Amino acid sequence: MKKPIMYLLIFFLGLGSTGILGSASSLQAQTVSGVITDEETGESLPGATVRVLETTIGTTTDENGEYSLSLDPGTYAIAISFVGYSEETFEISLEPGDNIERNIALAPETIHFDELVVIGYGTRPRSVVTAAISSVSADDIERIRPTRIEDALRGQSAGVQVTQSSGQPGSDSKVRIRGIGTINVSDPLYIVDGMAVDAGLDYLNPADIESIEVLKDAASTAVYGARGANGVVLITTKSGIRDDFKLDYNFSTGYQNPWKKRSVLNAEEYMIIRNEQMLNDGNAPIYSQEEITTAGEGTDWQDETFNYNAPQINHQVSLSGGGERNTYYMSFGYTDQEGIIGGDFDKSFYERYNVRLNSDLDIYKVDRDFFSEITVGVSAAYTRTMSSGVVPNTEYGSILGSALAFNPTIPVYSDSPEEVLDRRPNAVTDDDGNVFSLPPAGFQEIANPVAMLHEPSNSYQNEDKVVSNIFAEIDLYEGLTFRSSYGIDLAFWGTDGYEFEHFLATQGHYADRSTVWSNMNRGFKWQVENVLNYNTSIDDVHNITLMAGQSAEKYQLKQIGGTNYDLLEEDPDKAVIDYGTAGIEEQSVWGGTGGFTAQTLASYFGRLDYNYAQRYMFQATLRQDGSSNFGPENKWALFPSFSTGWTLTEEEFMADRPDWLDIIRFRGSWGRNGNHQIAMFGYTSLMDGGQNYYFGSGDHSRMIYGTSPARIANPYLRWEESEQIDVGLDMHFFDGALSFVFDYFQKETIGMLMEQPIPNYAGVGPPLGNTGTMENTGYEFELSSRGNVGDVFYNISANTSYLQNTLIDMGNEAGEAIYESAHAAGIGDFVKGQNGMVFPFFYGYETDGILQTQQEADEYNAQFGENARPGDVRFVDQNDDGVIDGDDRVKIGKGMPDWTFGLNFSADWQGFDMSMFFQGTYGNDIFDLSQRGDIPAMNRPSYMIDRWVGENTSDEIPRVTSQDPNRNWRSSDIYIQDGSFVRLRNVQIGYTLPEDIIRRAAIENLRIFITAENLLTLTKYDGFEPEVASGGYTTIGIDRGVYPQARTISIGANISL
Amino acid sequence: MKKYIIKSLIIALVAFTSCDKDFLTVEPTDSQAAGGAATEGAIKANLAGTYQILLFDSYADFQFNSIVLMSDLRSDDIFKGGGDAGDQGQLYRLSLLDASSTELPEGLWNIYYSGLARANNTIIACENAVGVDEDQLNELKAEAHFLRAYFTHWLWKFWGNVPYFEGDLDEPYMATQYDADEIYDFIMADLDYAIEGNKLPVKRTPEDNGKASKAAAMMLKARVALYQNDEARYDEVLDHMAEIINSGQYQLMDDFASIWKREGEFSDESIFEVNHIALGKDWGAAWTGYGTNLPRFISPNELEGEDLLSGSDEFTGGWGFGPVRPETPDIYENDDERLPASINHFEEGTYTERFQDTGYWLAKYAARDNYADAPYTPDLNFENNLRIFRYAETLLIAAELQLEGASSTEAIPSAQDLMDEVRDRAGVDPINANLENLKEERRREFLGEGLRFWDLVRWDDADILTEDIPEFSHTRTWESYKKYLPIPDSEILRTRGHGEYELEQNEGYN
Repeated sequence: MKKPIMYLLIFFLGLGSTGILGSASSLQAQTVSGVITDEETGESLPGATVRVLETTIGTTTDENGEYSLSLDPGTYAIAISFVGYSEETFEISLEPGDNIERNIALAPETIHFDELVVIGYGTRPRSVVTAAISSVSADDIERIRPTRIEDALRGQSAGVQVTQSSGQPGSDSKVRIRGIGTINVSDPLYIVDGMAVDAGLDYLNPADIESIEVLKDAASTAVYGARGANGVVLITTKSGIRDDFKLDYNFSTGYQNPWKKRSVLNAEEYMIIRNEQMLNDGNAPIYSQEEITTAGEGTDWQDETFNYNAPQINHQVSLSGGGERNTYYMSFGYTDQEGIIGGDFDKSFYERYNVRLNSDLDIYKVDRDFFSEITVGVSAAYTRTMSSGVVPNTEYGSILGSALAFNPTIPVYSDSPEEVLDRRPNAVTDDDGNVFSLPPAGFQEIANPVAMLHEPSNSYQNEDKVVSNIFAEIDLYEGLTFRSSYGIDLAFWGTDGYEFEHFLATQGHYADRSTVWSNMNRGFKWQVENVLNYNTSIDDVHNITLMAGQSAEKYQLKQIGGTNYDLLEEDPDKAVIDYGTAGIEEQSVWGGTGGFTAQTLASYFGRLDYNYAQRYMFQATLRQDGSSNFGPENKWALFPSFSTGWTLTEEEFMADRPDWLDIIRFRGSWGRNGNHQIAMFGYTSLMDGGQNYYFGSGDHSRMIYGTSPARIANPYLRWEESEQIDVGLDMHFFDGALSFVFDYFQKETIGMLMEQPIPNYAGVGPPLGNTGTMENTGYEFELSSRGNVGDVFYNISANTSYLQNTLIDMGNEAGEAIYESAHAAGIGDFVKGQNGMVFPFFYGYETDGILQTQQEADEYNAQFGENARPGDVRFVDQNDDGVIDGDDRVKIGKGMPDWTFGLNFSADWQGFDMSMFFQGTYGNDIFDLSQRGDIPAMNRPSYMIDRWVGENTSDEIPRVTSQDPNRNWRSSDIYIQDGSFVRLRNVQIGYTLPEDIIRRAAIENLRIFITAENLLTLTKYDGFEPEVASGGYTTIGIDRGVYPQARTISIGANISL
Repeated sequence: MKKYIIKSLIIALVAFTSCDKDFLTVEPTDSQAAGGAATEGAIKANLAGTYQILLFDSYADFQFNSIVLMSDLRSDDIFKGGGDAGDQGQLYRLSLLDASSTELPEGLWNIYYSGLARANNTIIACENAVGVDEDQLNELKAEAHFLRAYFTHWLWKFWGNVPYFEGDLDEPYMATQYDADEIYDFIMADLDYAIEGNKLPVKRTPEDNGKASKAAAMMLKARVALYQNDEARYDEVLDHMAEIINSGQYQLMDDFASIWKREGEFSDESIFEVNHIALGKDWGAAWTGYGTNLPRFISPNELEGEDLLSGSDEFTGGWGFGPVRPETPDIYENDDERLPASINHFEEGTYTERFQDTGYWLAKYAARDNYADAPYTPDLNFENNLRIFRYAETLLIAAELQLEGASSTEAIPSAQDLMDEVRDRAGVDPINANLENLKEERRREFLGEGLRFWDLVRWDDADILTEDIPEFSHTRTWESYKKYLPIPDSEILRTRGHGEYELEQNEGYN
């Protein structure tokens, strides 16, 4: 994949560096002409490039593959190039009047699979890599155009599961490499240009990325020791090319829209359901027949809430190149995205500015064996982001959740505004003073969603981040280099927010006084690394690489914040702490955050690589890590790994293999690494502060600061350990036109950190202990093919992976733990981890249809001592103990898929290009938490139309009732839906203008494109979005009315000068 | 040359990497580690953290657990109310005497055990004290013992046979379960410690209002001994009541209604009170002190009208839990000032009717305008102090003990005089001092203060709790095992497989 890109790059740079405007003058025409053909098939190649090196002259072959150049007399080097073929160069001397014919046959490029792969602390040719490493290239990223770099990984490599948490602009994604490795933080380690970046990758501009490598097995991640257990993502940013100059400008602008509305009851249906609910409970109906017949559709709260045609804009300028001894890459990026919920009210947006400079310089270079060269370099990025967000996924009164659940019979604006204002002088109004409808009784946290958009409150996040790394590399002796680097990651971030007096609803949506708050955080990390590399070859067959190094890092965080009340003026522009007027006694207990924390890591590592004639490969890695996060009795850990490979096709007895068989290679590895991502001071028991009590009354009132131990200490606390074996197979056929990669892995995490599940009656937080075990096994397949049909050149790559996760041992006596509950919503516990099961899983009762008749209900009640009526859910007595109780709850689904897959297809034809990217999952479920058992008045999904209303009317959806003696809406499989999906994530059509047209405008390359995201999604799930992961790490697949991803249609252009 | 280069490199590498052991030891800067030597400030901070538990019951651990409401829900004074049956369903089950091991007010278990652990921690800190004056240290210790007894007594009342521990728990961090009688002994030992030797003043000065006093310890001891029906202790407890009465430091307020208002906080009648401040409690913050949610919780929804009994328009709306039963006002005689002060009655249509609506509401802690003047989350930040022990209870306990035949070594007014004093303040005429009348008097005096259910249990009168009131969706049966709630299932689960520490479920719940 990479080589063609490099090739194109060189081609464009070649033209660019020498200018394109000059045109050779000639008094007398001398010509060079000929036909360019495929060496193997003999077919002519239209569109091949013919360049006269060190001049500005060039042309392309016509439809018959023919070219012709007019040149002054002289000696020239002429290069012929074409996508997918090796470049050919020939020299020619022209005397006046010469007309020379040169036919050139280009050989198809065959060795694209021997690209260089970035591994930890070095690079290796793909042909000798014995580890499971997937790569994503700059052109993959270019095609997907993600806002955040994590999204570039989605569907691109087998074994990498990326789930976007929500559609809120700038929202993060949950990245899991080879499954959920631990019940704790299982985020991978991100290394950007050698620097470990912990907190958020959104500072990276995806356009600056040259390549992403995903290190999946222990053999490749062991060199990152205590941080490698969940996989490592190595990100390399772009750099310039020597003796080149290039200026690129890319831009796109687009509009985002919701791609789906969730079907909910309209006003008429709502009234019918509500009346039925009342009647079922023996109460009088609420609505008269006349009201129902005239109700019609009512208010479509989703329509009223969505921000249609929300704009999204990107600009990206980069300048790159180099001289004889230096390279540089400079870029500026800007992205601005408005959200489809609240974006039009400044409540959901994401704006980012990036500046980057990557440069290196040979400061010393002599031609001798030792101490021959010193190179220094820097990679530095500054990013500013500003954003605001609405609550993306909650059943407790989020904007979209309210749009689904709010009463459709009432209008957006109140029919009796004076009455509302009389009762609630602070009732929310729009800019013209129109008063919004207030919720009727019984809606709890759910309020008028349009009014929520107008709520006079907002909270803005900001971040300024500088990540910079400087290095010096010295060639000490033939093959021996020393590299020393110092990197920093300095981030300032904070939140500024305000809330003015207002009233929307009695629960949660009102403020009796104005508030303003602000907080500032400063995180600083430094990292020092020194690495020695030695590379040698004995008799040309024994290839040895040795690496040894050291790394140390320290992270410090400072926080401060404050709150003030009673603003002098309710103006968002003046919502600053100084503008508040709260009394000093309140200021003394301002809700400020404060604190200072630090964390350190020290490491030594080494690696031995050996291969015999690229036929037999062996690699061993060792790393020792010491972390401040672990107990005094267990500070240091050692992490080894071994891997080996055998290239069958390099064997002599394979010399006579068929032509189409290029490579067969077997790989195998074992390794151990760790996960140190736990909170600082986990091993000790600190005192929790702020547990204050006030003594004295009246004027004597005074606060006494209170403390208590936070938890029980465990000085033996250590890292989690993960052991992994990997067996792989690489195959290439037809000169690389078809390739196949297979991996099988088994990964066991032991010593998972777990709060020891002591009884709550201990009265303090439980101690942490290293007790759990988790296992992941999986298969990964990657298949790619490229070629041409006539002059259509295509590229297809597909990947899929199957993953099976088993929590072997939770690490506690019970072997289980509850992770998510919604007690207030009447659902109870619904996400659980349990020994021997996939982690985590949806938990609840299995149901067996609906009780159809009084007789069935009587039998059910008699059998289980329940109080059900016809139309209620029949829950299954799993343990046959004659009662339906908590012990009958079982696994009813899971949020993580069995299969994930991605499919990329791209094609080029005479300047047109097209790409499509499909991505999907299979075998995952959604817990559709769109109904709250405790709010009878809420609106409900349309499927409630098909509820039980009498014998044999429904065997799936229970009758409507608010008393609900059977607790029909406790967690059960009626909440579960199939979450499998296939999504056309991205489709793009581009056209590159012919050179002869654009050159007149001093443009070297101009491509225009139109692209669409989320154009098509195939899923059985009837909610907004099959991809949901908003909340904690155990919330994948829980839909509480999630902020959906938008469908975006954009147009844009890539311009090179 | 080659050797020289490699040698110098090794030196460079070592120089770069000389991280001594200290590099990996990071000290927390914003809090101290637990268990070390304790200064007076540290002990007081630990003690404040222990008092803070008192502020938790109305909303903490993500549950609404007001101790007075949890107590009254099982009484014959109120219903559950709220949005519908399923709104806080575990409270509905509680009110129907039908709590299960998975649906019960489990927050109370967690909160009061945290109280126990914090009190233990404070007592340990007192033992590790450095440079603290002995009298001062004894006072702090006595307060910690009082609080430990107070928290434990709720666990004992609600669950009876509970695990108990003093000091830190060692691996496997579990405690022995005791039967209710043994727990009773632990509570009494702590109270005796707090009372003996005048470690605590009988009454606190205004500067120290909110701190435990000797009278508070005596009152708790009286309540606990009465609940245990421990007649052997009645004389001793009566002496304590006499000491409080004879100290002259407490007296009934003239105006019963004024006790429940802002100006009635820490009044002369108040023996122990939880000091709520309208400040920092917040949703999602499971363990924060400051204000109380109780007033919001028990007030009628979207209230607009004025109280028909007192004529007051100072009340504001809430969530409609705990409606007073329609016949409850009938327990009061005409002109009893305690009726309008204890019960509110709002006209139909002046508020939004919710589940089990009766039109009558608890008044003492009802939501009043401007009582939640908090910077944020007013719902959770009412300033109403919770009155735990009132002098009126001292008088009625002293009367009851005498009617039960106890005698005091100290001079003490007769049962009749004591009851007369309480009734006189309420503006009603004397009645004969007998046990039957005393029981009714306690009900009238302490309505909505969380005493009634416990009284019915200790008097063995709880059979009246068996009722069938279909019009209020209220049907229930009393059985003697229901004196105790089931121990939370999750707690039993966590001790499973731990032999001697395996929790045994209370009788009747298996």
